[in-house]
Amino acid sequence: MKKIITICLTFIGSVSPLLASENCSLRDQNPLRLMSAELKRGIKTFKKLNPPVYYLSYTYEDKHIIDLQAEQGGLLSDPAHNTALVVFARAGSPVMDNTRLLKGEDNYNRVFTKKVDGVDPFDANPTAFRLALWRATQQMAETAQEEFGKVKTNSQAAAERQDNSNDFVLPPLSRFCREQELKTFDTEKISRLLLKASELVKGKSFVQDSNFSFRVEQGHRYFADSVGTQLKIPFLFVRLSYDLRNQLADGAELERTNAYDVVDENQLPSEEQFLQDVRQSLAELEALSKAPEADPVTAPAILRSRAMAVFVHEVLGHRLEGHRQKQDSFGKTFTSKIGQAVTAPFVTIVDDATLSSFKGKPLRGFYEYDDEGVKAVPVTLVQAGVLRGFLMSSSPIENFTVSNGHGRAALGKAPVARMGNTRLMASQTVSYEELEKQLLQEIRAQQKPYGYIIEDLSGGFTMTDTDMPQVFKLEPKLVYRMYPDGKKEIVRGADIVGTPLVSFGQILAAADDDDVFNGTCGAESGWVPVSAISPSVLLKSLEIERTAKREKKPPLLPPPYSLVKGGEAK
Amino acid sequence: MKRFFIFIFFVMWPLGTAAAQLPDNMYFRAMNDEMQRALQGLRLKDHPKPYFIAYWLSHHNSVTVRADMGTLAPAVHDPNNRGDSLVLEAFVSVGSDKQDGLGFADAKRGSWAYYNAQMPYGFPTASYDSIRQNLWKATDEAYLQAADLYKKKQAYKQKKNIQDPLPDVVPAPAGHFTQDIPPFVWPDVARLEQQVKDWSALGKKLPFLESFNWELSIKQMDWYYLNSRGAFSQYAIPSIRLDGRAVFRQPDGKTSEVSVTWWLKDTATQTLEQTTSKVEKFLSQIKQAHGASSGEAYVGPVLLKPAAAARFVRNAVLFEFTNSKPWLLTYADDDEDAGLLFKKKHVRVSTDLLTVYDRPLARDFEGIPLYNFRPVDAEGVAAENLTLIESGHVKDFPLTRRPLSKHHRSNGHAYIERVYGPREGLTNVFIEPKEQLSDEQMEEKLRQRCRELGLEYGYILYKADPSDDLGIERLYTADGRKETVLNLKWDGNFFTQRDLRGVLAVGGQEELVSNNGNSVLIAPSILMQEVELVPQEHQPHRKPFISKPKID
Repeated sequence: MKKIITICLTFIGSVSPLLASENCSLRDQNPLRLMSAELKRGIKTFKKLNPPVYYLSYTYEDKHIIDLQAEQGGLLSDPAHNTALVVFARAGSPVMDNTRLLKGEDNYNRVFTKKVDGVDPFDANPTAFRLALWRATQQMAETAQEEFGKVKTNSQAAAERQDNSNDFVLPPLSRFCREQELKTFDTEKISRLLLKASELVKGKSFVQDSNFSFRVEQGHRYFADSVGTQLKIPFLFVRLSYDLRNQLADGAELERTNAYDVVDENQLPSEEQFLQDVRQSLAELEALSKAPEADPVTAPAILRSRAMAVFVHEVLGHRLEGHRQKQDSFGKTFTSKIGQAVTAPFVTIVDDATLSSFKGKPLRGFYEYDDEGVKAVPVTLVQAGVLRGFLMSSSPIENFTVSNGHGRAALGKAPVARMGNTRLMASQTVSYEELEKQLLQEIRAQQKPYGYIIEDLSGGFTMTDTDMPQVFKLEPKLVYRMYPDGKKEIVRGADIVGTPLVSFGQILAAADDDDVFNGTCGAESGWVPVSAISPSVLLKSLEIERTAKREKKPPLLPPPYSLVKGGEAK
Repeated sequence: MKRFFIFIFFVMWPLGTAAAQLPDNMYFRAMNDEMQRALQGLRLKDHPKPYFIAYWLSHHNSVTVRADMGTLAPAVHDPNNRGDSLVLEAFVSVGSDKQDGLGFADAKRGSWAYYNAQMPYGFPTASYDSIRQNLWKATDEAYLQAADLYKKKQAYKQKKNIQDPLPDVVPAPAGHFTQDIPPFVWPDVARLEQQVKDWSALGKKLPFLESFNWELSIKQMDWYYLNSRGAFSQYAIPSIRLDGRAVFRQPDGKTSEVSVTWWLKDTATQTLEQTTSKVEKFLSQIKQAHGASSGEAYVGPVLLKPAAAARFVRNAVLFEFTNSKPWLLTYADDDEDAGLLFKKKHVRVSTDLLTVYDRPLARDFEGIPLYNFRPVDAEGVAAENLTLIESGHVKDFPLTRRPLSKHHRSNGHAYIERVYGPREGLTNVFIEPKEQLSDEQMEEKLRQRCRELGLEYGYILYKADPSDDLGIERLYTADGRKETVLNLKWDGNFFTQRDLRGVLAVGGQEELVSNNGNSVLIAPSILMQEVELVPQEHQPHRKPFISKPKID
């Protein structure tokens, strides 16, 4: 994987601030009882193998999905109940085990886990679950041993590692049990809302595709490992969202999206508010469709709160993930910068996965125990502009020998250090209006023809591999030029590019309008829910480049829905 | 509920036939409206406009229940979990009947767009607009491909100086078939779950089994077809499919996975009881296969049971009936997919002990709905049942509107392949014996032949792949005893037309051995004069690190 693609607005919703304390007994949990019994039955034998399988963990997920999608007045409902069991095995020893990345070889097709779908531990006679657990453990143990052989060979044949830390530190024993009843939603009412919103697209030729959706994912994850950890943790993701797209004759793809992350139906926007937001987005899409294309420039810019939140995530966050300080295949931009200033002195950045909401908005990156069974703790990454720490999984690095609960993975992937809720805080702030005035001053001082206001973006990616340039790219979806006289003009096709050390040193001022970007981050351990929080920030200079366009023409005929009379614009 | 379900599928079939008026429903309205708009307005500069458009809409409804070792799988346990989707396909051609862009492929690409969209069904809100939207995108995509290929085909023909006296397409009357689409009736899921659970629980009888998984899928596919020449069809194809899969470890550590697929005519108590007997028989075959000895090299008569027999006939001769009109390919001199049997009309290609039919108009086999019921083909021509081989000779073959030399009349056998356009294809293939022989008589014929050759035993092959651990049995000449053997495979490829002449007998119970979009095959058993089987080597798997958990 050469690039880390992050934050995707269209992905599923937000984690609830569920109860903060235990409310169930681990002894009553069938999945944990069965998984712990199998661990107990086998671990002594596994540890005596050659090479030993010295650590095993089981994760079981029981997930219920509500999925409603409306398009052009039609509705699709696709409810589901998914279950999966994941076995993770480590062969060798904590000093060196099967999970170590091979130098100079393909690591992305290697197998670290075994996933089995559709097995039920709740049946009165869970024979199938017990057999599946046993078979998957056997298969995973064999695979881990085989992979360990490759690691041993590679460690002798390949160049020395700069950071020779162990591959694993055994996580502390944890026991925690919390459960939550499945929430119910008035899907008929929500369906009607989605359909009503989808009708607003009627008669609008600048909308080639649209989708209005409501998705709920809720259930429980169960975790047990050979250390003795047992966890039962509820999860709840709820998102109401929409996506409006157009493609221009020159291939430019335009998009307006919006998402509402909630934990309860009564937190959803009112019908009036939702429809008003859709109308606003339609107006923006129409304006974008007529807007001039941005030119490649460097200029002072304001990144609005949510855009800046993504900036923090991409530019800094990924480079502070622990394993990226260890593997020699990564650029290690900040590895040796602990104690050094990396940004403005009024900036502090923390990652606090235990924060369940911010200003009433649920945070998608909330969790209490990570996917290695380690309790999450808030981590100060940057304090007053100075780099202080890294996000750690159970893979130690030099001077950071234990996990701080950031080992995360999509179900079925091996965990690595990942972000949770990453927050940029400014100790000196001004109002947003004042920030715009400062932008104007900066434009004039630099004698630039205009500056930029990055109002919204959908995500971006950053490259951290050493054989690639250490650059990032963010993909704004709503951008304004601001001229020295204060006039604003919407433009399309402006991407933000840069390198981390330079870009993060460009922060001049921050506003007091902190806001949340809830998204999904994809990296080598799969897609995980994350949040980023930031105020709007003025940057001395931002580099803009043109957005890639599709090679293919848009359809020759206008969308049939645009020929239908209706919608409020007609 | 169950009885109603049966009634809907089987009694309503004849009711809707013979109507030639375009059905008035949302699907046809959407298809017709977008088709008319595309025919009039779709035009790329300097390219011809579309002259032929065809749309398929297929609506799928399904319920699936699955259980393993007596436990239901939660993924399908949710009563709300039902498959419900609409799939759309669009086909566009540019040029004219004399010269169009089809029959030509550039870098393995045809002028055909596959468009898969999930759209609403069963909700009070109209989905016409959503279907139109997806038709619009699919038509645009297919047209761009068609226009591009048309130009390339003309250029290629010019470059190679290819001059075909035949037009690319010959006229044919538009075919029509309309059946009222019955609503998909939600079955009694709890009852089916209990049944599947009971079948899978039988696996607990064999302590060495690691998985005994059964999945029952009840589906209905509703087909809607319309083309720009006025052909259309509308009908439903129900299906009840049961898949069984067992995993076990042989005493030497080798993991065996064996599977069966059966299609049921209904879910009536009697049918389910009969199926229980088949499940028990499958279990007893697994028991015999566990620890069975490996077979040794063998040359002699072999009795192919229906699945193996069907595979044999298909590979030996059926492929040669398809794709008769060779395509112009920029990446190859010859079209290797093109079948040649149309050149052998009245030539003897097979034993005269069997007859082979292709019956697109057959709706069922012994009450089991057939997937490839196709009253109107992909070019909109009414399909005809064909006798492919009779008395060992080629009697007829599939034809489309793309003329072959001497064969200019379509018999309604154009079928779309995924990458290409419509080509000559088969639908529901019936292989029928000349004389009725029972299974016992077929086995007796095998023993008789073995006696004549002085062989201690002959072999019975059940599976298309004999290396399957339930694929092969030894039949002893002296006493008729049967014994499962493992690890044997064919030596070389015996699937040739010449092998079809080396058939000693055809008979036994006919079975539906394949029932999907790729092939529907109904076959009896075939006794082959001589087949060579050789031992198959395999690396034994590692034995489990810890013992299998005890099963309650």
